[in-house]
Amino acid sequence: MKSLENSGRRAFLRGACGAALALPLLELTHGKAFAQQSATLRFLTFFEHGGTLSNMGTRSFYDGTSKHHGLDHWRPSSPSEALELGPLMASLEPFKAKLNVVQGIDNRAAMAQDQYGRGGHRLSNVTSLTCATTTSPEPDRPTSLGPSIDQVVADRLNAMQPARFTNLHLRVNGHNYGTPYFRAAREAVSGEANPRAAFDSIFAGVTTSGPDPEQVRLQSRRQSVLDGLLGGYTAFKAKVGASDRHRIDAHFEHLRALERELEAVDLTPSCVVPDRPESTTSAEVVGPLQVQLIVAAIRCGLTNVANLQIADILTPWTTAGTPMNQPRGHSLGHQAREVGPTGADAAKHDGWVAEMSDNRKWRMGLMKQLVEALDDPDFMEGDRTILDNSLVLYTSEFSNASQHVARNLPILLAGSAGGQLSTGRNLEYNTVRAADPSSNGYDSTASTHNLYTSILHLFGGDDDHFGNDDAPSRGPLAGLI
Amino acid sequence: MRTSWCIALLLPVACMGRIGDPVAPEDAPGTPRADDPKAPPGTPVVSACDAESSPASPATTRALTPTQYENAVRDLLQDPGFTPTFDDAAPVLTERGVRQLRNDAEAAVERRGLWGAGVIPCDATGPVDDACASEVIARLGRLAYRRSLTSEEAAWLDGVYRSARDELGFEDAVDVVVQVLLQSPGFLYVNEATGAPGVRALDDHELATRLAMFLWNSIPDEALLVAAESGELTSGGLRDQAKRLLESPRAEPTIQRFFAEWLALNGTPLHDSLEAAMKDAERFPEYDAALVRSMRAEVEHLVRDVVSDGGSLSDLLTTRRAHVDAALADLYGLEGEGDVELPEGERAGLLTRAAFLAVYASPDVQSPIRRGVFVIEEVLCRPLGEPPPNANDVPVTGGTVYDEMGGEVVRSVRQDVEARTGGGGTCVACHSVINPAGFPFEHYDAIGRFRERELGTDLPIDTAGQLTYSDVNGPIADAVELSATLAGSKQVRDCFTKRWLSTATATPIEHLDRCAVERLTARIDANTSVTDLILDVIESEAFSHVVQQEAP
Repeated sequence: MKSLENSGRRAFLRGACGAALALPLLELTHGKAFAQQSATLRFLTFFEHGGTLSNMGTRSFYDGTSKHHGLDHWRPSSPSEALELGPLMASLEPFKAKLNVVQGIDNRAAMAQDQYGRGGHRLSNVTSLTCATTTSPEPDRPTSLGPSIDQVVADRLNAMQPARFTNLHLRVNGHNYGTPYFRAAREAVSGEANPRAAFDSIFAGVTTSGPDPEQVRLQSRRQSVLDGLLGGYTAFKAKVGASDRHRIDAHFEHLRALERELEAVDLTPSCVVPDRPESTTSAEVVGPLQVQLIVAAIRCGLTNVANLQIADILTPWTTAGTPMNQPRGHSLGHQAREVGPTGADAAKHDGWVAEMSDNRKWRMGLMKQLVEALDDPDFMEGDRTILDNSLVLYTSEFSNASQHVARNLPILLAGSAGGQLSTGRNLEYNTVRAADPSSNGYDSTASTHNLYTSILHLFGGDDDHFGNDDAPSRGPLAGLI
Repeated sequence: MRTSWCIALLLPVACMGRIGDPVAPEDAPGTPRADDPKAPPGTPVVSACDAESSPASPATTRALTPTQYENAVRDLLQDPGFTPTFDDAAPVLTERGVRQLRNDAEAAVERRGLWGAGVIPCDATGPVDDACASEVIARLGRLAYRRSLTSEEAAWLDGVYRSARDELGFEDAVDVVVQVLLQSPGFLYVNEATGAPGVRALDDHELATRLAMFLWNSIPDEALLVAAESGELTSGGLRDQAKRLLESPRAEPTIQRFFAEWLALNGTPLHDSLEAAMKDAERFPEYDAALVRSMRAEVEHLVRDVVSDGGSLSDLLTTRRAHVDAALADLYGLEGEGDVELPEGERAGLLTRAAFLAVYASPDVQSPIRRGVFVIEEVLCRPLGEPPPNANDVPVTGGTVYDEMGGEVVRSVRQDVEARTGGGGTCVACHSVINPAGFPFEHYDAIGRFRERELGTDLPIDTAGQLTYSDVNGPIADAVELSATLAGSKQVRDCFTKRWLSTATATPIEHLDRCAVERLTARIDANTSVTDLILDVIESEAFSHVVQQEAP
């Protein structure tokens, strides 16, 4: 029983892939200016769990005279709008002109929903890319009731510039309190943490030579299986209670995503399929391999959107190693408030700073590898590098994890989204410091809601707002674009 | 996060009010719970049940767990060597999980030569044999779906087969139809969320599925299917079938997993698994992978020994019987190996064994806070709620620290815990309950070795503690007394029973029907064997009935 509905849908998909059909619709839904944008745009997120080396407190910055240290290694070294990179970003110096550091952005969705007004671990994670209302009151396992920014951008980009994968999600595995990535309400995204499995799912059957008969046979079998399954799940859905139907809907959509992978791909001329990596769980090895896979997939035109999620891992392989002997990254982060001059671990201050600094620099080193590869002049697109045609968002759920406060989040943007974004800037939304850079005061009304609204605009949207209504104001971040 | 909850800021933390807050959702069915933790002492117990009560567990449509999927495919294809990659345990399957299922289905049919005889009752590489394909669909379909296929389902799979046969040939068509079965909704999902809102009894096939998924983490075997088809399970035969499954070696992993998860030996969001737990190499040079394996094996042996011997929860908490190798014997301060009695006065049951103690410890020292939280939340089923946001999870290590005045002092772990969580701060509200439940374990260091003086500081050990918010409140001298006290507690027994009911019905513990729990726990006493307790769970109304919620 070959479902007519399926055949019809497949025919439509194949037909609709042509840009000529798609564009007028896009003008309607995404604004005229964007429909005329000719470059292929990409959006990447780099999420490091556990915050950064920062002295952010609940309402102001620690000055280094209390239990808490007074260091901010994330902050640019000069308050000027011309970007001067701080210690953690030193390795990105060659790309400084293509970066923006945005300070003073809060995650108001987490703060508003936390009974203590701070954010907390789980709420901060599930809202950090979604700005969504969550399933509180389930304090242990809140889940987002809205999609994350990468998924929204991915769906839109895919409608305009179809690729084999709507979105790639790779991870460096370890402990963290929940994921910030959601495909839809209550539907967390999970990515590959093993580079070999990631390679197999991205590059299986991708070849720059002619069609391989064995591959063609596999594709035909896959198509037959998927035809059968799509019919089966459609029939099954009618028998499932309303409260659980979203699970079957999601399964059906995932099968459709697998089906789309069977469509012929126009590989870019510069596509180089990387070597199949080893199967490994060592974060030190996994991190760079995942970066390489993302870069290769983008260069091959297999996806427009990719996420790299780094758990709150310890990094014993760095120079400083792990002298604090903490069982996990989370505890290392917490120790920030014991190593100041009046803290119980005051004697460990220097060791803690060395370990924390090397740990965060290792993560930033992966960002550097990503940025460097995307900016490679051997892969120009017209007069722009791939990085120029991309926006890479580097962020975390906290600035300073030791206080569980979702304020003043670390936000680093790389690339100009096809020349739309001025770069090389240090943008300060903390109004106290904007007025007096030497102050340790903090006040901001800018939320991730506003930042992500701006990001939607960079990808063609004319959205009024992203996320829920917890932000002090709606709309984009003033002065970013 | 719960290692040290030191609170220095003035925040509206109402920990006393939060202690024991039930996490049951507002829409939990039933009347107020008989054991409402918020009720002040002396409040008359109000029953959650009356004559009108019809207890049930929430009806859901849920995917097989990775373990269930692995066992089910192995059983279905009679291919015990098949190891799938599927590891998605998310409530909503992810794209990655669905891709894994595709890859696993492809890998499974690649192994067709290794399947049991009769799975494909003809030569798949031979000429077209439609009758054979129909037989495969009907036979595998019945096993996979845990019931005979409906005519619609059979026609659908037949259609899949025929179009693949015409396009790809007979052999590929057989593979395609098996791949579709392995990814089909009727196989991958347990769908109890059918029918109108309200309570309904599960039918025989649904009961057989619950039973097999619970006890074997797999699909029903032929005998269970036949019992279901003859209506035995709804006419008094449920306990006999349950007994048969429980007595099989295939139930052992389920029982082991239950205890490993209870003791959190496989890790939680708050700590690593026993195998991944780091220990300081200088302090504990004897701690290596072999010792960790021995610790794990010892707990498994203890569980197997007590349960197969008809032992009760009380026996598990108090027995000094142990099976150890030389390395573990040394850790327990014994000569020799094999079946031994652990030193009297130093050890009791599960909670004084090295595996549990090593997991509930930091790399350097024991963790009385984590151990205390375990007793309150996991043994007594009294949720503490989320720690406040300025709680700290840096392990409290004792040793040389700076006091409030900036002076150097040497503190034991216990003294350090008391200093950091006591005083005038808001910490004390929760920690006045948590710490005294964890201090009785102070003799055991970070790898579970018994010490009279503390490693590192050489300070004397103080194990005096206290149980509160339980039905056995009072001072506790040490972990041996704590184990004996907990073993005599009805609250502990009820907690243990609820945990089993939660596992059996795939229902989070806070969503369990209160009346079902009340009626079930009334059947359990201190002497009830673990085996009988499991059978009572299976005979309870929450196992055999589901409630379909109104559409949202």
